[in-house]
Amino acid sequence: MSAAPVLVVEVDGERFGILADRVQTVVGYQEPVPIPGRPKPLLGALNHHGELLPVAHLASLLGLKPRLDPLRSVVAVVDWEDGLVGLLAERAHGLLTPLTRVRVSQVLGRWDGPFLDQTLEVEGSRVHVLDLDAMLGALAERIR
Amino acid sequence: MRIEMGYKFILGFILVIAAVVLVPYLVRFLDLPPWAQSLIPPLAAIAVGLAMGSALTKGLTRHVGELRSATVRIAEGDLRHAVNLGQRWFPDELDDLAGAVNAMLTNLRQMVAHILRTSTEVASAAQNLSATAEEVNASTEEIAVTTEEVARGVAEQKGEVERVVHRIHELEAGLQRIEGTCRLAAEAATSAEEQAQAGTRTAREGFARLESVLSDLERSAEAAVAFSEQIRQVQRFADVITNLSRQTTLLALNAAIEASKAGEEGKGFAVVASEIRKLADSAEKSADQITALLRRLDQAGQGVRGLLEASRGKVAEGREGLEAAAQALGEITGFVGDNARRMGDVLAVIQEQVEGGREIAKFADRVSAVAEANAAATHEVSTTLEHQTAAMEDMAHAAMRLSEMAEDLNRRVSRFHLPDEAEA
Repeated sequence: MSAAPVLVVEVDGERFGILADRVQTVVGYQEPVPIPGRPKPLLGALNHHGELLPVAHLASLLGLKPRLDPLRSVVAVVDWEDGLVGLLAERAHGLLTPLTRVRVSQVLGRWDGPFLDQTLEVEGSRVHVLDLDAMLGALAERIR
Repeated sequence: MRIEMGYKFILGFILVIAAVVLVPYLVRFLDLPPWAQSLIPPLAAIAVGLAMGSALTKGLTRHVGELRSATVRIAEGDLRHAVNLGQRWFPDELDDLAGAVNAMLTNLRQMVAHILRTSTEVASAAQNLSATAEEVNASTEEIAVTTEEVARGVAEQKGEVERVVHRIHELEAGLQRIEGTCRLAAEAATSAEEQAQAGTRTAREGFARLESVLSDLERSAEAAVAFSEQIRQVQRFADVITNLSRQTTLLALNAAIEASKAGEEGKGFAVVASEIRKLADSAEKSADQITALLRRLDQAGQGVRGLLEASRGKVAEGREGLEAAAQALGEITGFVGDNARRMGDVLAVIQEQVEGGREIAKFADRVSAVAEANAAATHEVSTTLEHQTAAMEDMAHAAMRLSEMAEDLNRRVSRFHLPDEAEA
């Protein structure tokens, strides 16, 4: 059982967890500037405090159906290697930590989907904690 | 000088007596022998008596014979000669008798002549009457034949008249039924006119209310447009609130992330961030609910606005329709009123026809009675004609008999011979 807090986001009706230690910030949806020749999961780039922030669609990375709600979609800015990467999710559900009243029932083991570290069951809902390094590494491979 | 026959005989007797008395006295003056004196007076009396008797008897016999001859001639039918006793000095009853016989002869002549003329005329008239009777009889038979034809015609006419009367009574009954139906129709038309007028008043009131509703509808459309605009303004405010809530949520989320990174020092801040995030979530949910409610209101308002916009055209059409309906109702009311009046006129005409039919039925009854009376009268005429035919036959027979009797009378009277003047 992991006690590290995770940022819970929703993609295609499924809830996924991103380790809060890797999250720099969460911003609202802004339409990225398209990058020519980009692979499908990479939507484009944003201006994040003067830095160029590549934004990828989490649903595309996980092989799920991409959905966009401009009012609720969020971009989670995470650390990866020496830089930052934006991950577009349909919405953010909050931070899941031991301080919250959420009861982490048990570790359910690895899910059969890609880039998943572990799956938690929280009050009847399942939260799949993502393996960011593997997922972003695969994206980097596709970019190269 | 008239001396009646009895006086003549008395005078003769006196002369005889005078001879008896005077002759002896006269003889005494004669110188005759006594025997002569005795014989001469009786002889003189006898001679006077014979002379007087002869004279009286001769005149009497001759005149009676003349009278007898005259009566015999009259008895034999010879009325041509009158009795003529000649001029006599001393007429007597024989002259009276001759005058009476002549008067009788004159009367007989007149009577016979009259009988002859009358019998001739009667015979002629009887023949004419007989011929006329035969002609009348023939005519009567023709009339009887014609009367029988007339009787048959009258009987057929009576039957036809009875059928016509029956048909007329049926027509009268039919007219009465039509009158009843027309009366009901007229009452229905009058009721329809009243109802149409009431309906027109109600419809006009309804049109006024509907016009008011249409005006309200136009004002509602304008209000809906204004309301929709207000909803959009509120929607913009709600969007601002939603945006602020989302940004607050993101800020709280980022604060919680930063607090989690701070470890134990950040726990308090994490609690605050969590509460802020809850408030922001709550505010966002409320804003979402408001937005959803406003969206529904906006959709409903747009729907109402669309309906009202669409109804504007329909309102104009409705107004035109109302005006047309009001005009049509007015025309319908006028038409129904005209129909009611026409039905009243028709009812009056039908009532006149019913009254006329009733009069015709009465007249037909009278005609039927007259036809029946005609039939009876024709039958009576036929019977009378039969009687008349029999009577005319009797009359013809009587005329024939009369003619025969007249001829027989004429034949019997013809044996009297009249002077030419009398016959003429």
